[in-house]
Amino acid sequence: MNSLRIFIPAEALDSYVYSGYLFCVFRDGTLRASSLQKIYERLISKHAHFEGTLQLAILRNDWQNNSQAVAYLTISKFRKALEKEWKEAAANRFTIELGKDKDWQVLSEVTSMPIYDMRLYANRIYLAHRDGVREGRLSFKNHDLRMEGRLKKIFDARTVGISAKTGNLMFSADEEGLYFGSLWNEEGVTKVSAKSYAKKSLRTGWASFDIINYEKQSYFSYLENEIERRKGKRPFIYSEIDESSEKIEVVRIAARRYSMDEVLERAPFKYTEVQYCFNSATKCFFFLKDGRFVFVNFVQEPLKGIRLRSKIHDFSFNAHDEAFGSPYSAVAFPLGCVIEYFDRVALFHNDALITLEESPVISVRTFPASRRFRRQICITREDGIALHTVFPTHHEISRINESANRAYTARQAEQTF
Amino acid sequence: MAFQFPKQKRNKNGTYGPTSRNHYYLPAPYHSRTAEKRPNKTRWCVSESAEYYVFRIADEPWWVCVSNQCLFSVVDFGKILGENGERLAIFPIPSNANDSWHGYPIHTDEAKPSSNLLDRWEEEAIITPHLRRKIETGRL
Repeated sequence: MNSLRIFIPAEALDSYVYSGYLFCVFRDGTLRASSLQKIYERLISKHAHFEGTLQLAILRNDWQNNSQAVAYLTISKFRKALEKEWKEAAANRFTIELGKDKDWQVLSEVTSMPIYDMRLYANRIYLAHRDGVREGRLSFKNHDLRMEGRLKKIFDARTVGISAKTGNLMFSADEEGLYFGSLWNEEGVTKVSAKSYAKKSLRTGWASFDIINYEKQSYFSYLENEIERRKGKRPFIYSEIDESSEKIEVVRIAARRYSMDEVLERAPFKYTEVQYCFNSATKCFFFLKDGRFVFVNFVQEPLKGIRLRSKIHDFSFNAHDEAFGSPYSAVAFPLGCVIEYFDRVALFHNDALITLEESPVISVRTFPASRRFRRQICITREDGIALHTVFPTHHEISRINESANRAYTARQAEQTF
Repeated sequence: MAFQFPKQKRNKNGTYGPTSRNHYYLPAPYHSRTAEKRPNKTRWCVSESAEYYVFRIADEPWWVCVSNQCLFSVVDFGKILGENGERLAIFPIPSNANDSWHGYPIHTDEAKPSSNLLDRWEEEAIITPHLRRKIETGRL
């Protein structure tokens, strides 16, 4: 099924969805935000008949696949009606004009342009530039978004990628290496190590609590970290609706290292056959030079460390489709991924390749760790921002339902004993 | 309309040129599109005459990258130049000023133009902001 697309014209350099707001760095060097509630209200003022569908798409993705939704969606007539409504809405390809000064709230000037990456995490914004990384603290109290103070420089080296998990951040500084930042300190500020953990880093991906460091687009090293579970209050919060009790601190980065050759020891292909790779928390995805697109699960072997399982899962599409060319970047999405080609973006979902954008784009972001925006894809184009939301497939709903049933049975069994 | 490389005749000694800077270009056979595959050697997907065009448009305006001691080139907002989809080319500055130049297609996760050269390319509309970001982050 097609995604529901909302296009917002803007002179954007990058954008990000976080905590109910769309954040955007504009070409004029300003960091601005507009609330998704405002975008939603503006849309339903023109398309009132799609009110419910737009609410699911823009504000509450979790209502599409939480346990209550799954119960409704397994009712075939209910699901068909909802799918019909979604298809009708998706056919609209909504465009919404936001006034640059009226509807976009200026949060800060961005002193170093252009930016190479942005990440919103733990009520903070991180911007990666040619002269380092800047951090800003955000407050969302009483639905009033504010930047607490100015953007502060926390790291000096040219940085091209930022990733974050459980209060731990990784800064990819290209030829200058890989640096680690932590929020686990009493001051609650990001403290960046002076030590580099790799000679080169273009980007990183978290695999559970370990890090995959991409030195090239087709080559990585696996860095196994040591972690500790903390008791007591976490020194930072993830968001205003922070309900997670997870308190895990990385206490030793790269305690053990594995080359891509070692990790692929049992895989039926060599690293030299890889054209582009990326990972999710549990899997590694490979676009191979022969056009195949495969994924393999990570597994920890007791004596040999981290390896990828020998069994590969071959997706049935050729990633080198003439119409698309070779992939330039890719990000994980529930039961699929979003692939950026040179002049288009496509979603691979439910064994099908769906074109999302038919022009070159600046960035593609998904939010797999988000509760409310997990099904959104935020694409920054040179002429604006395209927000896509994808309706869950029947297969996804069945999987969620099966997993909920298993969890229920396990709980019942525990109570019996 | 799709970009067409202008045709250029080869000199008797196998070189192309000279450019307006009086530089000659000698295609390296191991980077040629018809060369045997070798590890660590990228191959052009365009003709030798087109290779020279890619070199000339970098040499005449002097698209130099001091840190890498080379010229970088890009054609028509990122036309594919290499067999693995490379869209940039690199031309190392010869150690002897009288030597002919050579070059090859490159992916930006191997080497990339300096920020100064990218500033210039963006100002002169040689590249777009999206292309610049792909270059700077090693994705092109």
